[in-house]
Amino acid sequence: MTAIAIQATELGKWFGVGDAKTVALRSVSLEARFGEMLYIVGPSGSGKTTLLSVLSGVLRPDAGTVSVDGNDIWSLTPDRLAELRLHKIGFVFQDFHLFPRLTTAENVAIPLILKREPWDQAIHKAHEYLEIVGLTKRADLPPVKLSGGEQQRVAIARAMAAQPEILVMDEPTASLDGDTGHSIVTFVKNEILNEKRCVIVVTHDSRIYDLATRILKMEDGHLVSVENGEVS
Amino acid sequence: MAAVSVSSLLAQRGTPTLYTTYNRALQYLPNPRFTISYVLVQPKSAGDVAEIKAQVKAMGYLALSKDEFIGRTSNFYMWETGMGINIMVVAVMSFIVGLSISGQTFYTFVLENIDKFAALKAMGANNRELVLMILSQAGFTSLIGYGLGVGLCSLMITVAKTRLPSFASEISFVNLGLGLFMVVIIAAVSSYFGVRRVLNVEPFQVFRG
Repeated sequence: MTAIAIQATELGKWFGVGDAKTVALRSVSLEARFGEMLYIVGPSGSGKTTLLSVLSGVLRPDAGTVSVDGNDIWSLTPDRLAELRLHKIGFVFQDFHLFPRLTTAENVAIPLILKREPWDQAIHKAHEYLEIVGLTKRADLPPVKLSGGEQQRVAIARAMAAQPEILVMDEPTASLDGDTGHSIVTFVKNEILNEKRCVIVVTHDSRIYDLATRILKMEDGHLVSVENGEVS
Repeated sequence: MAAVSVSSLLAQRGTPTLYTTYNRALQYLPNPRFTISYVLVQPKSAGDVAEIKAQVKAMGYLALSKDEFIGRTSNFYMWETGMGINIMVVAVMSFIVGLSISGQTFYTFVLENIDKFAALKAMGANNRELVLMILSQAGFTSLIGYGLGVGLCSLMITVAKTRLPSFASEISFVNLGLGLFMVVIIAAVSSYFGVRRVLNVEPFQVFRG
């Protein structure tokens, strides 16, 4: 069995107070392993995006712990946590969040710039990652000139540029048509996923379920079942 | 001591000025007591200035050097005609209007790009880097604005001087420094609100779609 990439224990998260209090996560425990493509699925409002945010270190839980490399990430200072996100976790957002005034290559270079790599070196590496996602010829174009699928691949190249151990993808097919969405996730599984990397995908798109190593299903903030593995 | 000119307040408004010796001037103006505003005197030696000043003071009058005279005239227009206050009011109003417009524009820019800042935060940018980013943007745009402003003012003065030979205006280094200081204040205040907003943005909101 491969090593644990990320482990969550008894996670709890709620928003608001009193009558307006909404519980988004209720005692959620899970672990994701290297070499695994883990899906978190469930209906809207079930808490899957909240869970992904807590796991990836962008939303502080109200209870429980999240461990990466055996260290509780939520005990880190904000700067140390930002550093951990920069070096260990890659993000692919639902709306891509590419920077429209930068070229495609410059967008991909952002994490490398944040890691203090020299500009020329970062752009050179960005071109290498664009080659991996098949967008070499689009390197000098602004993102708005690309199709939705191409933008998603740029977002993946950007997430991969910092060589993270954990790749989190939030609704990666939400802005894409069925075929494009499936081909993007297939690409991630075939080209990005390996024994030293873990991919966590939040989705409610059943058309890409076949690509998952394991599927966690959420309802009302609970983890209700695990598919392709042991059932809880 | 030789008087080289006799003038009156009217002379400043274009009345011809007579250049002559002091004795002749007294002949032309038999009763100068209430008609002369000042007598322009050129000492034969710079070392006589102190003595001349003392003698004139002993007679109950005031003797001023060229710079003192310019300063006194300038102060008169500045503080006793209302012109100085008016200029200051215009300057303060320009400052406030500039501050409001640039502050609002910059804050709007930050709000429009708040999702980008949230994305950068999620990707691992720390607060110090985001603050530096905002300050450099504010500084860069302010310096561009400052350069354009100084350039336009210089152009206007140059054009005015070609059309009106007696047009009196200049941009001194003190004025440039004061203008730069005000621009820096405007940039600092404008970026403060943007910085505060960005520091408070939750990277989590980037997942909200």
